[in-house]
Amino acid sequence: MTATSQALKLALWAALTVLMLVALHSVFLEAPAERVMGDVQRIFYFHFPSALGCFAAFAVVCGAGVAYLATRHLRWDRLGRAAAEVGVLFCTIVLVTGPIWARPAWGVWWTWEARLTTTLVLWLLYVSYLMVGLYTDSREQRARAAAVVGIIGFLDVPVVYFSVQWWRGHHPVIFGRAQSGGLSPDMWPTVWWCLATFVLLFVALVGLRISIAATEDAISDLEERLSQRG
Amino acid sequence: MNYLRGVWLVARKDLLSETRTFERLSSMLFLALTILVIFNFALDFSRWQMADLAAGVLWVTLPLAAVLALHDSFRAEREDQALWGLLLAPLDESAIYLGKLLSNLLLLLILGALTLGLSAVFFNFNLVPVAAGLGLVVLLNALGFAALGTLFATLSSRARRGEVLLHLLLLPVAIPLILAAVRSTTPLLAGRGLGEVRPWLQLTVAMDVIFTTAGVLLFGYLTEE
Amino acid sequence: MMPPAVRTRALSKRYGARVALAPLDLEVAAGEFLALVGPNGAGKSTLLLLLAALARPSDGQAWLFGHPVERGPGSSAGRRAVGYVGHPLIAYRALSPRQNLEFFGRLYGLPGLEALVDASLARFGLAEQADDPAGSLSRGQQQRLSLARALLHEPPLLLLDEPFNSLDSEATGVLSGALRQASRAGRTVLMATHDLDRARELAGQVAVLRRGHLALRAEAPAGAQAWASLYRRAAGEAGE
Repeated sequence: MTATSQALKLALWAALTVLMLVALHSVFLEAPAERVMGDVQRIFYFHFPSALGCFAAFAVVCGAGVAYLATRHLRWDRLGRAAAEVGVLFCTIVLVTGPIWARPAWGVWWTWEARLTTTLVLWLLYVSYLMVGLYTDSREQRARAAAVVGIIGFLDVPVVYFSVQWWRGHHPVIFGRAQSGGLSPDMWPTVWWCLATFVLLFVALVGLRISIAATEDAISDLEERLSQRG
Repeated sequence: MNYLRGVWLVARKDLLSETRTFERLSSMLFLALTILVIFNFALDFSRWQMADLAAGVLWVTLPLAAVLALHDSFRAEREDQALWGLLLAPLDESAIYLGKLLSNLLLLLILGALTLGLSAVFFNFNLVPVAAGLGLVVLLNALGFAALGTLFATLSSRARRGEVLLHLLLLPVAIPLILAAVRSTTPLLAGRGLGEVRPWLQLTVAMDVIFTTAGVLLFGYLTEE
Repeated sequence: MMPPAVRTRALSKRYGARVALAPLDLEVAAGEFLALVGPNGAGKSTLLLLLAALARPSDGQAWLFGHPVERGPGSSAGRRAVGYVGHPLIAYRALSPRQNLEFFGRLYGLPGLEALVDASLARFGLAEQADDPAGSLSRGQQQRLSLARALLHEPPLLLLDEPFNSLDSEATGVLSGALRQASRAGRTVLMATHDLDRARELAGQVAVLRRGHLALRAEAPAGAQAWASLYRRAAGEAGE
């Protein structure tokens, strides 16, 4: 690890910390309380970027899968796995914050409304992606299997989205469309801060996870070499 | 070697093998029957509309039974590496995939037809007026399932405890297929026409195209040593 | 001037950190019988898998009779040149030898299949068991079935991975005879083997692999002693 990359990493984490503090400040102290739901609505600021992060993560998983199949460099497999793990993490955030919001807002813990349902299905898809490794014997086998599963999974995402949308009513908070329940303009700055924070968080977590995976792989490589020599 | 002929040869061999013992078909059908019976105890049929219930029961039973047969798609090939024999032949890998898909599809269609028949008996509905419509729904869904299942079975046949893996991989991805199937079946059973379910059928066709194409492109990557 | 039956350039295969085959440059002229010898893990099986296009190289390339070894659309024609016999049976256990040969024969689009299969079964001494499930055959018979399958389409190149493994003396005799015949008919044969006696009997050339590297490439020596010492020198282990 070079000095510049170390410095960069430090800068990244510092920026992330600062951004998080700014975002938290923004969410709890700056953003106005929502007219109908009150403070509970603030959960949206975590919910929405997590959902976006989810989709982004799975796009990365698919891309990493394609890249692996084309080049056979294991680093792409590490990227895919890291992105999938972070994606599942963000999905989990959505699935947990959803009910926390739903309970005071609608009186139920869970509802099979479109976005929550879609997120749950995505969660299932990518947890199954992560489980492939339990059933394969070698790194290359897992990487190949995971790449195929990741590509299929991502192809499934729009299909899941559309089918669930057709099946159910709308998500209560929609913006960009002429529907009630949108965001008031003074909420937008907070949204942007949170979005930026989550993007940075995504990059930081994926980067961290990749370096852990790379170290794990390097260790098992060394073990392999030692046993070959013996 | 003509591509289509290759596909046909692979499919034909599988189907002929199946006719020896009907192993895959019989286990699949038996499981479907058992699941249907369990549903009878699990749900109170007197309280629900038959149309709503039957569609749901059908489209839980079919996928679960189908996974059983799909895992076996490549068992004979993996046993003594007969798959290498296929890979050594002057045959496109995708032809192997499509051949397997075809034979799996046929098995799933038989499963679908017989399960529909059993459901008509258990749920007391008249199959004849809805047979064509339901037949189409089953065909389109079986195709999507077979496309995904054949691809994933290539993976699962190689893995230890592969059957578990196939369940874990196939069922989540097949959720939109199952959803579309139920949404197509319920109106038909309630006596509505095919026109009403056209969007769902179109979605199913789109999924079939996506998954079959993906299978054709990705199969080769899963068969290397 | 015929292109070499086999040519590789920097052909290598890694599994993670493990180097199964280090970058290999090898040439085998048409009609040669090359014995591939070396201890376990030397890379013999890997090389044969790569040449049969059953495994994908990590690096480098191989050509068979001038055509590149590859998979993917459009590559299928090149596979006609290869017949492969390996550790597994590479046939369907539940089908009979006849059915297996007919199936694979159809995949190769061979004309006059029925007669061809009959002749093949007779040639490899499988006529009696022709209609029994392949799974019920003895190891020797299975090996012969494998060879029959590999030779059915009369490939100019035969790749054999330890074909004499766990065969009794009768089966060994039949197999040697078949291989000698194939070689005399002009086929190129690459045979990986531990059995130095068979190698001495059949091969005109020898290549010794050790830990994925080519340790020696030479004309096959005469006499058991010469073989044993060649092996010892190159493989760094006691001869077998």
